[in-house]
Amino acid sequence: MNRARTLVIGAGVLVALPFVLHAMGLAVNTATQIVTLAIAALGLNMLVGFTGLTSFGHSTWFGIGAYAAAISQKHWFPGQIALPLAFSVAFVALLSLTVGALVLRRRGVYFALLTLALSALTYTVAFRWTELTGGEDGLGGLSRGGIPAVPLDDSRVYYAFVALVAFGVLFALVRVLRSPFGHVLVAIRENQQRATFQGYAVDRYRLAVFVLSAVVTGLGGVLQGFLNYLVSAESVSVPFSGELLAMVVIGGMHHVLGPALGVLFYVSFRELFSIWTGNWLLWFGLVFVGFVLFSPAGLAGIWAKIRRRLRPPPPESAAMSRRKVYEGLPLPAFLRPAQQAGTVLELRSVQKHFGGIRAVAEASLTVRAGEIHALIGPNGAGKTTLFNLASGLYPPDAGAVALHGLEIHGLPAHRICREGLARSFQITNLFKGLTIYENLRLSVQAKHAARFNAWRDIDSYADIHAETQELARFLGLEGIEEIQGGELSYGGQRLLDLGIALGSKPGVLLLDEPLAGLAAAERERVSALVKSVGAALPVLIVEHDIDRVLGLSQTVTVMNQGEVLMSGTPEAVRADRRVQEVYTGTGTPPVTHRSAQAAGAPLLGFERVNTFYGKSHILCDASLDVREGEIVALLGRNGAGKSTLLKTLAGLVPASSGTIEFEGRGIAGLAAHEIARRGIGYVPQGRGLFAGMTVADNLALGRLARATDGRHGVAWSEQRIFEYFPRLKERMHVAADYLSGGEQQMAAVARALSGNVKLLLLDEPFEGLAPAIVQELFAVFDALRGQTSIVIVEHNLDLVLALADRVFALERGAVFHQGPAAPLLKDLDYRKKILWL
Amino acid sequence: MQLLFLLEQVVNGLVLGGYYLLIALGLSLIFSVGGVVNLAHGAFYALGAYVSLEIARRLGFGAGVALSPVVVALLGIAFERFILRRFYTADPILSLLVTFGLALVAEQAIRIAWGAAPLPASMPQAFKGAVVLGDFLFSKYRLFLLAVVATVLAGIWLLLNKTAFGRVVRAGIQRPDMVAALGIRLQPYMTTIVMLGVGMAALGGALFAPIVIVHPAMGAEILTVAFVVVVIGGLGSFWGVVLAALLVGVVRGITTHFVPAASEASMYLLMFLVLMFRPRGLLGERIEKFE
Amino acid sequence: MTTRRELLKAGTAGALALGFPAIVKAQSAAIKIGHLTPMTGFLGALGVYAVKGIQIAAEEINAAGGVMGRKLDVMSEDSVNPATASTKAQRMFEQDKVDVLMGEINSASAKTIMQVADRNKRLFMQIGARSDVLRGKDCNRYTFHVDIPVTVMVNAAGQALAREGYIKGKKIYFLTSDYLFGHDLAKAAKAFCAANGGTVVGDELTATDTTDFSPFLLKIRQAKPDLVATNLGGNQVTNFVKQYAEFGLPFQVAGFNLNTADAWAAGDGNLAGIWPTVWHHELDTPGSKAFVAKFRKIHGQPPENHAWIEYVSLKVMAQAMNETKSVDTEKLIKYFESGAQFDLLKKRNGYFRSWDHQMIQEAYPFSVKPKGQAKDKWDFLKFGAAVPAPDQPLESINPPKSANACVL
Repeated sequence: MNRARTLVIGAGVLVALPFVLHAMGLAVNTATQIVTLAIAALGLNMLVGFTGLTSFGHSTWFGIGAYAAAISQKHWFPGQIALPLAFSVAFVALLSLTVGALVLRRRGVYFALLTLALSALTYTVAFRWTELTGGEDGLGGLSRGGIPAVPLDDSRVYYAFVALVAFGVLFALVRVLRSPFGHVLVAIRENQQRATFQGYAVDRYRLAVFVLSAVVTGLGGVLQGFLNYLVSAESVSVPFSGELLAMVVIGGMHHVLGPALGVLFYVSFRELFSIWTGNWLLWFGLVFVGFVLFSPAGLAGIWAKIRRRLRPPPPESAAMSRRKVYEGLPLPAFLRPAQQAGTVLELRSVQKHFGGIRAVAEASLTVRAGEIHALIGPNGAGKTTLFNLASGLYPPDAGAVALHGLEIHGLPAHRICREGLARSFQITNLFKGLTIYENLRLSVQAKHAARFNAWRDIDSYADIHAETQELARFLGLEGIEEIQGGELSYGGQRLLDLGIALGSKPGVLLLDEPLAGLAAAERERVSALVKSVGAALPVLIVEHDIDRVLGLSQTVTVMNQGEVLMSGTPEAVRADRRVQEVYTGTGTPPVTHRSAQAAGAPLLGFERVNTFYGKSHILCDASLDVREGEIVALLGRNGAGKSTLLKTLAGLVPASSGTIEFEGRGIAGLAAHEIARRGIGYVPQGRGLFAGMTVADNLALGRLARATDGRHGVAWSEQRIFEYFPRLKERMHVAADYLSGGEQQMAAVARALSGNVKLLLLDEPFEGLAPAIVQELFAVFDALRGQTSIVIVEHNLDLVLALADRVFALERGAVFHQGPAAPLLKDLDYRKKILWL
Repeated sequence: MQLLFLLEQVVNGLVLGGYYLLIALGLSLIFSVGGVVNLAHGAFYALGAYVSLEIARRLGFGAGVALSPVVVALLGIAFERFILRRFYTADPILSLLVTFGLALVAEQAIRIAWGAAPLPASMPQAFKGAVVLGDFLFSKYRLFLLAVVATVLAGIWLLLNKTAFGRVVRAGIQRPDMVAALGIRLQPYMTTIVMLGVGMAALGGALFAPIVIVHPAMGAEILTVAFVVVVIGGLGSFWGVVLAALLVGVVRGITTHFVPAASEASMYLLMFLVLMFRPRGLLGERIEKFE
Repeated sequence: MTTRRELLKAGTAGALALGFPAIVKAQSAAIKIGHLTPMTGFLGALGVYAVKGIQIAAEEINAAGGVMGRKLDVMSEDSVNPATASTKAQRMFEQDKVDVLMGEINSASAKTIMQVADRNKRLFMQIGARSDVLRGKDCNRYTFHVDIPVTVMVNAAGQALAREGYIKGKKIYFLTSDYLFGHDLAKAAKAFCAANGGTVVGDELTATDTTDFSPFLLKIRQAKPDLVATNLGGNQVTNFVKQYAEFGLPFQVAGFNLNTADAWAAGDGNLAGIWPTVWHHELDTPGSKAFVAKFRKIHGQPPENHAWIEYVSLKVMAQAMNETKSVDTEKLIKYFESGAQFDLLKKRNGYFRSWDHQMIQEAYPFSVKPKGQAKDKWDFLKFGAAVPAPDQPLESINPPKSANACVL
């Protein structure tokens, strides 16, 4: 935002407004009213537009501000305007500080509802407490005060006075928004969690802006009170709150002047449209609904769109071409922590349960100065949970986390960050609406003494600027700093996520899968970056690219099922049999493959399919085929795209390109329910049973919309279900969430098979099951191959290779190996060569 | 005596709670399917009252009460189809704003169609008067109303819990993806639920028309209470709403007894306190979208 | 009248404020009359009658050649709420250069407009707000009040009740809206009862946003009073009478505030008891009959009391201008203060009291016709004899100077 231009526009409008309105046949007082409302709307927008907290009850502050001034003038400062104004500001500040501390404990819809209740309550009190507020007659007989030479009673003089105050408010708000403090507000709006993990005491910022917003809105109320010489209960009512919010939305909440524009629009709409129709309020309502439906960014947003249309920004590729990448830069000096020695981060026997599930059990881990420490383990081993425990996303149930000997478990995340522990996130977690530069600067600024400064322009801090630039240069993001985080390629976003963590100048850095989803060249670059970071400060890294992570780390900890399996050098880990078993199995299947049939006719053709989640490219030209009567296994590391492939097949995730043919007919682009009706059954990871409903209810839903005649593929009747899964018989009327894991899996399979199914998709069907159950399910799947084809995703290689006829191995969304399952099952060396190590 | 009288107020409060329930439950139903906080719910209540009077003028009171919900529910279909559907996956604040705007439009539309002046409405003579049961006084009409509410409540409960329709809806609330993966098209079910919720609001309007003033802003009046009830009960929770409606009724009854002037404020205070200490309402579950 | 003043519920996501200038084409040399009245919100229904009434008067006057040969140009606008009312009033004086201001129903808005009139030293004829304080503590020399104040309403219904024997020695249960207007009414009503030998056995305040009266009805049943006297505002009256009928309690009901529109809204067979009014369309005078006939012809229904009062108010203003041959504020004030008589379409003429600027006039009680006697849906009210009785001075039902804080 250009500060000077905003102020010039603001001043220009303030000067021109009375003349323009006069030409429209409206009086000076209308102009004054517009300006007072605009002040209130600007105040509200600090909360709504810039911090992302929707207050549905801001009339509370408008009215209380006005009442405070009126009452103080009446009792203590008769005939004055400045003192009541000052009193009101102080009063609203104090009150909003108290109220804010309470209501800000809630977010989102609940915050909006609390503010709405607050406004309703305030209205009831104001309307009823006649002695204090004058009740329904309002508090009249105010005096505008002023000095004899400039009688504020003259409407033009009063306008000038209000306009001056408004300009002052605008000036102050612009300064605040340009300050370090203001930038943190926007960060909170964009991604509160990330701001917390950058080390910001988010609650304090939210409270501060709540008070600021209340005070400014209250100021608008005071000025309106003196304009009318009266304060009435309408000014605290809920409808007025809605009106203020409507003005903000219509004007555009992401622009400083947007709300003021909204007020102008609202008042002139009211004054002018009402000439043509008495039902102007109806039209206004329709316009408002239209804005919410079609242009939530308001008038300011429309203007921005038009401007982009007239002067289109350079295409993204052109912008990206300015990027300058420097290879092999050392970590900038300002990011190097003071000499550290010995143990930096220590987790001692930490535990975490979620409901009945044990995520981390008695896990201990030590990160020493000067090392890159890798944390590996299969899916569900508890690695990310361990990260979350260390970084304060949630506290451990038991155990301790110590950073430089200081116990940090139980501290809020921002404190932990300030103590010197920073982290990146597995799912990219950045400020998508902010530029790369702002993303990084927010981190750098978080440890600066001026992080609470709400007055100085952020650009005036040369040190912050220099450090941010150096960081961008180190990351290889120089030259494209002005691009928004959300516009970056997935690789760029991962890089930026890492940069945000690094920017908080940590003593130890936690990286959660920094390489996930990156293309080869990018992996190379990020690895190199991690290496140069690791040379200066200890890094704890979770990563599934095991070759690479073993290559760059000095110590490796392996986790499995919530426990630490071992810690040691990469060589020791490579050599450890238990670790190998965790990853590639033992080569001795617990059950044996019974029948292999001759390959049938082609059933499914899945060709060159691409799938995206937002910016992340999950499936890259993935191809696969399934024939009738065969079981196909999908193998690959975590995050390789296996589950996404199944979801794409089932129609739950749209494919952006490629063809999917099922029985010779294209099904790409069909809705999920149509695909299901054509005969594709899906059992998701975690089973996806409907909680609170009995097994019978779950099964009934499986039969509800699909044909059940079995003419097309298999369709299990209840009798068949009991044949295969006798134990479900007595569990039919038990709620699905009370079943054991094995029974749940059986119910999920039975549900999927309850309608005509020609292709069954199974996602991790054996996960977390006892061996006996595994055996039972295995037998069922094995027997099924005569009637229906199966695509199975399973990380237990021994099992899945025993079951499958053919395998497809995925890496980064593409198939890199396909072939029969048998050789992989028997030859463990071949398996390792193909799949890992 | 004093105690007995207090008890009478508590019982009366329960009846009153039943009366809020009809509106609040519809609000909660709509909320639970799409996560939309429907500020336009009061408008359907008002429409229900107006349409019932329009029908009653021609076909009598019974027809008005029976047909008005049907007519308004048809409007509900359009409401779901063209407005709500866009907001199932959007920021809930946007749906709050859009329904706020729609409430405004609806109120003005009523004002244009039927005039700003309140419309006269009365119940059939047979319903007038009160009966004394035990030591307690009950208005006949309210007993009738309570019976209707209980029937509707039971019907909705049975529909949601004992029929295939209900199973799909409950499953759809939890895992829309899995419902689709079983070959079920969820959309018509959502539309039906919204239609039911809207129809219940209209039924409320038709039933309350004889005992409260019928004017264009009547929707806004009831919405506040319904809203408070749903929030206290927990967004989207069936029994939470039932509990909260009765609780609000009783709290209002008791405050009317001791501090009559605070009967309105007591409700907001209750909501404020509940939200402070049980942020998701009495029986509400954590729904990520609303945090 | 604050009475119907809309108890805009807190929390009602109700009407957004708005303005609504019914544009009347400007005529050169026309006398401009600024007319502010609520047209939206709860009072909107009454405001609509008000506009209809004043328009009929303006048309009649203009058809007869206007005032001093100049047309009357009445600019009617929605006053919305006190804040907007004040802004608009100032604008009308300043920018539209109106000669006088008239209107209002909402007493809070009336109060702000009175202050605007005072500051601008211009005339405001406050037509429809009834709060006592407007012509008491808050009175000013630029404002004249046409509608009857609270005390007169209490006296009108009270005298009828006393005549019927519902006061003396009886147990009276009060139900009062908990806000300024309700308290005003209650104060006057209790004074009346005390003076006439009634006993107060119950005195309940109801929140202004109460829509359900059942808890109070239970309390009333316990108290077993002889008379339930209500001091309720706005749509609360309608809600109360509907629910009173619903519970079918046997006690006599009365109220000290009810507008004809609220009575009409009660619905068939719901209204009972004795209530006051300032005018009713069944009033048997030639002037009233002609006005009612004209109004019926145009709008297809009888006029509500707000249509009547706006109609006569403009006539009063026109008379003053014609008599003084001026639109000058000072001259008009002098004329009004002179005790000049005005035809209010009632049996007796009215006049402004010089020391509080209150129009002194007849008021009436009404009760409800027995079932089956109503000719149409507007016709169920039984109109009572004028108060004060013909042998009493008109001023006797108004608060005396000793009881009125007004200093002009």
